[in-house]
Amino acid sequence: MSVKIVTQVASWRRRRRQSGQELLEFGLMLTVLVPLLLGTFVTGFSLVRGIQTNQMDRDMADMYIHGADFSTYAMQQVAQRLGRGLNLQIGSSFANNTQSNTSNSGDGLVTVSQIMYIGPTTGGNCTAVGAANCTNHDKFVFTERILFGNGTLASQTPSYFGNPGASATITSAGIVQNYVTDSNAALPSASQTAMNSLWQVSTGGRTPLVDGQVLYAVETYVQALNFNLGIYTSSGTYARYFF
Amino acid sequence: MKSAKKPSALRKRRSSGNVMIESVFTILPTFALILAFVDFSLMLFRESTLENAVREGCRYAVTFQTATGLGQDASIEAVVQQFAMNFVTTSDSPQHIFVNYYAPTNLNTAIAAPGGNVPGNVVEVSVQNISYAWLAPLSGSYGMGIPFFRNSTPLSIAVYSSDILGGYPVGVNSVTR
Repeated sequence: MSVKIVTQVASWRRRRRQSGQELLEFGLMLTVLVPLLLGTFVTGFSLVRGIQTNQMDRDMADMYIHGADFSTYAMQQVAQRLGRGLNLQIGSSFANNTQSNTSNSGDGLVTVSQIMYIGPTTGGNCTAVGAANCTNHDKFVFTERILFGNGTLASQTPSYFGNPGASATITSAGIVQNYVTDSNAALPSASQTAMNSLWQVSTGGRTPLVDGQVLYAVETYVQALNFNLGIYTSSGTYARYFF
Repeated sequence: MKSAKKPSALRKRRSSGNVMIESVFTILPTFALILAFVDFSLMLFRESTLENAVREGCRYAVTFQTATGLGQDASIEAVVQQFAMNFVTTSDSPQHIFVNYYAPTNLNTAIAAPGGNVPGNVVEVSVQNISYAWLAPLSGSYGMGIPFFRNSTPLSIAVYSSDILGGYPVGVNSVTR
């Protein structure tokens, strides 16, 4: 009898000592498992959207180089169909052309750019306007710029190429005027540096661009879902294709 | 020694059935999670495979190639099937693979066969209405309005690829749809 009492006391003591231990262990495990799970979901969603964004952007760039005019509503609808599920919004229909259709909500912004390299003052572009007037010699300039989608997203991921100066003359079809003589048509200096290091190189058998060569680029940014799980917030997906 | 066994037996008797109940409580969410991982992975795999398949179909379309004995639409669909790992086939009923052509001046209305597949027009290759039923034993009310996340209706996958038709190959003046 007395033995039983002793063991009961021991059991009670042990229980009291261990009281809350499981909860603590469970809590410790959760600190590892919960972030792991949340991270898996957020990363998974980003991956899906990344693939879609990439696909959509490449298709648009491919069509762009084949002459597609993304300043028209119809072509923007094609882009919207390509990005089905990405919530790219282009607003209500408009006639003819719109260079900047960015007063929309939604999760996507598409930036279409045609960029030309203006060579030295002795090059064809400069001699055509007179070497003295060739403000943009040895620079990359915008010859076309079209935007559609949600314009507020530009602050989240600005265009790799920057933007034409505020005073640049751009038609409703996105054509940049006077791109040889107007300094507003030139890419900002940071983008000039980036483009020079990307294209104006001779290493590895590559040939730098020459005067008048044009490249076509489409950039697509899709912001993260409104789906932030704790510390895990996806940064959105961005795709850029050159042709 | 003898006295030490008694409380153990007592405890065992008191705890009898606990393991089973705890297992039930644990297995349900654990399996839901495991199946959710499988679900998301399969969905992602299927979607990216189909994305690639329509893209390959579209690249094929712009070159105006055709397979022996097939028209252009059927040839494009065959290419999509070839890259779709059997997720879609050309003989699906209802049809899942679609090939449409649009004039650059009217990109909302597909041109009916037999016309449309001429250089300069836009070709759109798509796979639509692929239903994906989730495996995870979760109620549909867990959708929370999040795209792709489980909700009361099965996920429907649709993927598109578009391009502008290039020029005819040398010696070709038209291609039958």
